[in-house]
Order: sequence, then structure tokens, then C-alpha cells
Amino acid sequence: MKVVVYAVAAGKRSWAGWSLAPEIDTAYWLDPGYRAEAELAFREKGNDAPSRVHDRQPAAGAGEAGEAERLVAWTEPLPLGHALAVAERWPGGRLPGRRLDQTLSRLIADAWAGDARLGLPVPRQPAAHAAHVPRAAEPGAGRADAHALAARACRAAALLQGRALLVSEALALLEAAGAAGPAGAVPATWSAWAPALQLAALLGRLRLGGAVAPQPQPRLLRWRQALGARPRPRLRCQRCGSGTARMRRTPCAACGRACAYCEACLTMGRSRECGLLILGSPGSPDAGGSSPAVSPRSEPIMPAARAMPRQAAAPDLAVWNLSPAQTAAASAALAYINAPGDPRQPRRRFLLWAVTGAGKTEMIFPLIASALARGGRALIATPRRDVVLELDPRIRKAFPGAAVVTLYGGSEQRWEQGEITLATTHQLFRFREGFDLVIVDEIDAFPYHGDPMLHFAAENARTPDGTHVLLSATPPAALRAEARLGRLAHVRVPVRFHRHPLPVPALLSMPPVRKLLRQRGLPRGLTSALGRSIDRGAQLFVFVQQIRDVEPLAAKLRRFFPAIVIAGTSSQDPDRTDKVQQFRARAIRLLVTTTILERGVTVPKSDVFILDADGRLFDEASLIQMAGRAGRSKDDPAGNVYFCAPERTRAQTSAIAQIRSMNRIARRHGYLIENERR
Amino acid sequence: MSVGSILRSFRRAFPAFTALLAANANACLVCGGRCEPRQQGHFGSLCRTCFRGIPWITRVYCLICGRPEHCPDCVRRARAAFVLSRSAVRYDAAIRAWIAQYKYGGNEAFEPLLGELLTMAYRGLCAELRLPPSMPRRFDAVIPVPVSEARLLERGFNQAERLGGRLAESEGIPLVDALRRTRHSVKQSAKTRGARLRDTHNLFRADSAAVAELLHSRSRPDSCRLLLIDDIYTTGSTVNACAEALADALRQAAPTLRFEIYCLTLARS
Repeated sequence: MKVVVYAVAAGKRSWAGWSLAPEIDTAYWLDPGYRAEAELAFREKGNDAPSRVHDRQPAAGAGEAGEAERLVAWTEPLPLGHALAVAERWPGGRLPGRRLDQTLSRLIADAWAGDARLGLPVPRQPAAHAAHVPRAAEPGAGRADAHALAARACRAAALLQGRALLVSEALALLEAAGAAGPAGAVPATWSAWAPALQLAALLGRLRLGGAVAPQPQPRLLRWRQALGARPRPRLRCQRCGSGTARMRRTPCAACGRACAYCEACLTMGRSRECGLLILGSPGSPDAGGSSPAVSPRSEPIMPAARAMPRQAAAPDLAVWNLSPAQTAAASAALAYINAPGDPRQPRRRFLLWAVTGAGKTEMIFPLIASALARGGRALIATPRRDVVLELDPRIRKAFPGAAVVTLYGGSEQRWEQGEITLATTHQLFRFREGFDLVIVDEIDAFPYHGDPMLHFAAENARTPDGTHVLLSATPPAALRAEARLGRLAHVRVPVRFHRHPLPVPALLSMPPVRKLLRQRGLPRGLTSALGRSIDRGAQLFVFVQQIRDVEPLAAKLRRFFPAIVIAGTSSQDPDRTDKVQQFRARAIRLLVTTTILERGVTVPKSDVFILDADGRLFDEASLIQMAGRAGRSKDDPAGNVYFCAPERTRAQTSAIAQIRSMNRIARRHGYLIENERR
Repeated sequence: MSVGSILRSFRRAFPAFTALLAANANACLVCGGRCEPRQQGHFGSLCRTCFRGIPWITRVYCLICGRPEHCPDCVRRARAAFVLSRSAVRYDAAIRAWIAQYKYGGNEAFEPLLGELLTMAYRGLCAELRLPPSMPRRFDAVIPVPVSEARLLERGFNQAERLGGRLAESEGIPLVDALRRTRHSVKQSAKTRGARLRDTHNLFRADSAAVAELLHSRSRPDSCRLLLIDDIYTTGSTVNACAEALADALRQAAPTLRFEIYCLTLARS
């Protein structure tokens, strides 16, 4: 999109801004009456919207620098990318008279010249210049408008709070919320909402920026710019954090320039240089001038809940009915969350390392409860959609009084706001500084693991003083190392909720599956182990590496065990959910599958066979997860797990070592039931 | 060559280098990492499996609209303003996904691929019309079907213009943006056949300045062959309306001129 760029001189200061609705900016800066009215309306409305707003001046940095003396606007709208560059490079300081116009012209010419240097086509420019914008003939004429607009701006800001949305998404949200007000007179069109959003941004309740924008220069290198060096734009997607390598420049009809878009987060809607990203979080405190701590406590905008000290919520864990190990872990996590933040440690992260079947979900209930008690919002994110859907009823049951919003691709509740949000990790792109507690489950699962975009999104979803809780049974090596070195606060839950030790996998030497499928028979070791499991009435998981092996192996097993129902499923199977249901219901006794069922599936009384356990796709984490499918229920706590492979690999031995060490820790802490018997 | 121009060409080449360094530089455009390595087939960005899946239209059934099966629309239409229309591929699930990714998802990495598909359709059309490659200016102009202003701002590009532009560049035909959309209409894909036919009436008009430019640049004095470009041919109402608008404008501007309007689309549904 194109925006109007303007510059303002006020006393000793000057600044450049850009606007979606220039008439709002001119009235705001040139008519003190308009501004006072808007601020007043905002303060009145501010009470019903929770926000950490410091009732300060706009992020544009105007402050109460006094009366704007002169405002000049560029006569042609400019591509948003250039507008951002001009505002960013504005020298500030006192610029009297024509020097304001000259500086604006120079910076705009620089921006286009930068395109030419990059070898981008520069369209023929219509003759444009900086024009002086006169004050309104009768000041205060727009007072009534200001009040009404501020009310709408306030409503929009409240609805967009904690979000990071592209224009189309923001409009969908405003429309879904019926934000037009009771009359419903205003449809959710861009032209209707732009002035309200612009005013909210001027008042510091929203931040407007480019979805793809240049990185600010590192502080250490700013001297180069001061000496007149050309800025070297290093673009970054403000939504997913991807850098220049994931950008693609194409000619854009919306801004008339070759502007960049981010290819990394394209599936979540296109984020581009001339596209707006609306951040529903107030500007950073230093942009506003003074820190919020200085502002008087009596300020009506600061809701009481926010001001409450962290310790206010006294944790009573008894109500949650947790096992001793779960209680210990939950109280350690609560102690970390409730401790005052360490200013030297800006990333408040806590790792909850709980073995498979430890009852992670139950352990996070007290954390959520404490966040809600403080008046905050909690988010539970997980990479997998099926896990979100499974978690949904459990959370709603545990927190019947709270508004729960469940988000995934195509979710009905997409634009709703709740106290507890359940989401797939991809949905986190649509949030910014929105949650006091962010819990990410299964941090080592695809696609979250190894995806810097999703880490960026999760990191940014929490408020600056919020806490990030990481959950996993198999944390990645880097996190384990950080925990070991004491750089990451963490707690280990070494035992399952039923207080029996984890089944230790047995190694079974066997040829690879490819070879098995070519042979007539099956190895004696495998058939007898399978037979024993079938006889004891267990449900059998048989994991293989590749989808193409699933069906042939299922067919082969059917010939050997004709008495039971055998099925195969994989990610490419449309009836996957159905087959898993049948497996749970014991209609299917043996399920041949791939890593898609390695986590999140609980089937009582099950045994696990991992074929080709030496394969490349089964790493330590994956083996532990698959082994964790066995012995999950209280009635059958000791399932059997077999690693079947021609070779013993490091992944297999270290998986077994990790399982053994968890059992050892549990025994030492007296968490196991067998200890009590002794 | 001055130092400045050397530097400029370096800068221009730089994105190509960074693309080489990117993680999945030789992953298939469509299926990503799922294809076996070193199986790059034709069409640069596609792996062999995806390339084999392209539903080419190799034999047309309806000689007017190029549909590979019986076509009731062309029989019903009293007279078409275009001579004939040809498409590169059938509009199956895969092609639908590609076009949707490009058009609605804004994934412009699909543009070269779709452009190549269109070029294949163009070659087929020329062969069918017996226009040898040696013939200069087989067509006088490539004219894209326009999108509305609002859609253009929202999407950032007109897919027909981009694809037509690629074809025009590779075949050395001028691209003339001669048509305008008079009003913003609902997406064609969201309408029934009857609604489409009604809605497209008077939806387009020709820009007189562009038509004058087109007439000025033609190679033969008495006749003129034009090529309309669009992404999808469904009922043919869009291209027909465009052809009508164009024909009206040409008749007005040059009453004696003989002209033929052909259509070329990416997919035939």
C-alpha cells in the first residue's frame, strides 16, 4: 500500500511520520483541542480494556514536545517501505522553516536512489514536493468527530490487543467482532477503519509497521549513518523473523515498486514490504519518553489486576490431585513464574522435562490457574493439530469458568479472544506480546523443532514480563546442555503419573524390513515376541520407517496372525483417525504405522515393536517417544518394548540409557510405588 | 564497462547466489523436500514425479474452446467473438492447487512454472494454426484479461498480465494492456454458469489509447492477429466478453481491418 509521508517541526524537535489517514495526523498534530479530546475519550474508554498502556505519547516520539509549529506533507503517497525508511532515517533535532521541507525531499529522493542502487526498476515519478499543511481555519471544529473516532479507535485497539495481524486479518477480526458498534453502521472496510487505526497508533495503543521492514541498525554501527553512510537495508519479516534469504522481490501493483515479500510464512498469508502489520501491543516504554513506573499509580488506564504483585496468587496444589512427582514439578515451575523477573535474564524460560506418560497436561493446570488468578492470559501451543483437538475438552473441563479459544488452521474461533488460548504453533504468528504465560508442548516435535520461524513466534507471543514454559519428554540436545550448565531453569519429572517405572526396551536382532518383505517367512524371534504380546491380550504398535513398507508388512503379518485384525496407517491415509479410534477400541489389535503415531496417542495395555530401529529417521527422541506408547495405563504399567534391528546404534543405546536413568532418578526420589512396598 | 555498471550487475546477480545457498535450493517447487534428490526433470523447478503429473491437453475434442471432451457451452453460444481458444492443461486438483498458490496465496515462485505451461500451449496453438516459427510476428499482440483495481491492490499483480508478459518476452510479441474492467465483480470461481454469463456482459471495455498503439505497431497493413491471455477457461464468458470489447473497439478505430482474436489460457476446466 501507499501512505502519506509527513514531517513535523515542534520547538527543538522534529520528526517524520507516515499515515494511512493523513487528515487524522494533521488534526492531531496541529489542533491541540482535537488531540486533547481524543486523549480524553481514550482515557474514558480505557478502563474496560486491559492494557499495560502507559498513557504516554505516541511511538512516533512526539511526546509533549509542545505545539507543532509546522507540518509538511509529501504531495504523492509513497510505498510503505520508503515511508518507513524516511521515518527511520529522520535526523531529529531542530529544523526550522524550509529546512524541514528540504530534509523530507532529500530522504525521499534517497529512498528511491537506494532502489536504483539495488538494481530495481524505479518507476517514473510524478512531480511531487513537500507541501505545507495549514492549520484548520477554525480550531476545534472536529471535536465531536474526534470523540467518536477515539471511541472506535479504542474499541479496535482492545480487540487487536496482543495480536500481530496483516490488514486482511485485522479486517476479518474487526468484522467478526462486530466492532462497528451496536448500530452496525460501519462495514469492515479498510477505508472505514484506517482513520481509527491511525488514531489508535498516534495515541500509542497500537503499533503500525511494515510486515517486512528493514532491521534497525545495530547501535554500535549507528555512527556510520551519522557520518553520512548509505543505509544498507537488511530486510526482516516482522511476523516470522525470517531474514533476507527468504525474501523475494517482485514488482508490486499495490505500491508501484519492486517490493519484497516473505516466502517463509507465506502459508499464513502474504507478509510484504508494502503491507501493514498491525501490532496490538503498546510501543516500547522508551519510545514513549518515560518509563511507566514513573507515571502516577492513580491512572485509570492501569487495571488493578496488572498492578498486583506476582506473589498474590497463593498456589494451592491440593485441588489438582497430582502425584508427588507432579506436585514437586508444578511447584518448582510456579516458584519460577512467580519470582520477580531478573533484569539480566530477559528471556524467562522454564523447561519442564517430563517422561512420556508423566501427565504433563495435569501439571500445567496449576500454572494456568495462577496466570488467570493474576488477571493474565495463558496460551498453550503445540505443533500438532490433533494434540490441540485432544487437549481442548480437557482444558475446558479443568477450567469451566474460563473463556477458552482453540485455534488451528480453519478454526471457527479464529478471531475470538479468551483467557486461555489453545493453538497450533503456526497460529502464534498472529500474536505479539499477548500472553503472560506461554506453554509450548512437544517442543521437539515437527514442525516446531528446528524451525526458527516458530521459535521466533513463540518467543514473541509472551508479554515482556511473561514466562515461556517448554514441555517435552525428549528435549533437544541444545536445551539439555543449557539445563545441565544451569543456564536454563528446569525441572525433571522422572516418573509416570501411575508411579511405575518406564518399560526398558529390549534389543532384538533382526534383518531390515525391506529384506523381510522379500523373504518368505519372518524371523522366529519376532514372531514369538509378537505371539506372546497377542496372547497376553495387548494392543500392538508396529513402527516402521517408511510409508511404502506399511501396507506390505501389514499384509505379511496378516498371513502369520490370521486370528487378529491387523491394519496399517500413515500420514497419507485418509482414514487415519478412524483406524486409531478402532485401535483404541480394540477392534484393531495390531497397527503398523510410521512416526506419525509416535506421540500424543494413549492406548491402554499396549506393546511396542520398532522395526528398523537403526534407521536414520528414528533418532533418540523418536525412539523414546515410541517406547513411551507402552505401559501408559495404571492397569498395565509394564508394557513390552522391542527395538528390532540388524545393528545396535548410538540412538538405540542412548535412548535405553536415558530411560534407565529416568527410572533411577525416580527410584532415588522415592517416587516409585515399589519403594513404598519395601 | 564502468565500475558502477560492473557493481550493478554484481548486485543483480547476488540474489541468485543467495538462492543457491538457501536450504532447499534444489527442492521441488511443488512437493518441497519429498522428492528424491537428483531427479530434476524438465521445467527446472519441478521434480520428475510432479512433472509427470501435469495433465497436458494433448488432444482437443471441441475445436472452438479446446476442451478435451464434449463441450455443451460452445454449441449453445450463438457466435463467439474469438476464433478459438486453447489451454495448456486440464484444471485438475494439482493445477488448481498451483494456480491457487500463485493467485490467492501470492506465491510468485510459481510464476516461471505457470509461464512455461502457457508457452507450451502457445507452441501447440502455433503448430495447430500452421504458423511456422520462422514466421515473423506470428501474433501482433498479447493482451491480458484485466483484473479490477481493487483486486490488483489486494493481490499486488494481475496473473494474466504476468503470464502474458513472460510469453510476450520469450516469443518477442508486444504485450498490450488494452482492456479495462469497468466494475468490480465477485470472483468468477464463486458463481454459477448463468450468473457468469450475465455478469460478464459489458464488464470490459477497451482502452482507446492502447488500441491505437496496438494498431500502430501491427506488422501487416490489412490484417491483425491478437492473442488474449487468461489463467482459467471455464465457460468462456470472460474471454468472450473481452474479445467482444476488443472487437468493438477495433471496428470503431479501423473499420477496414480484418482481425482475428485467439485465446490462450493456462487451464481448461
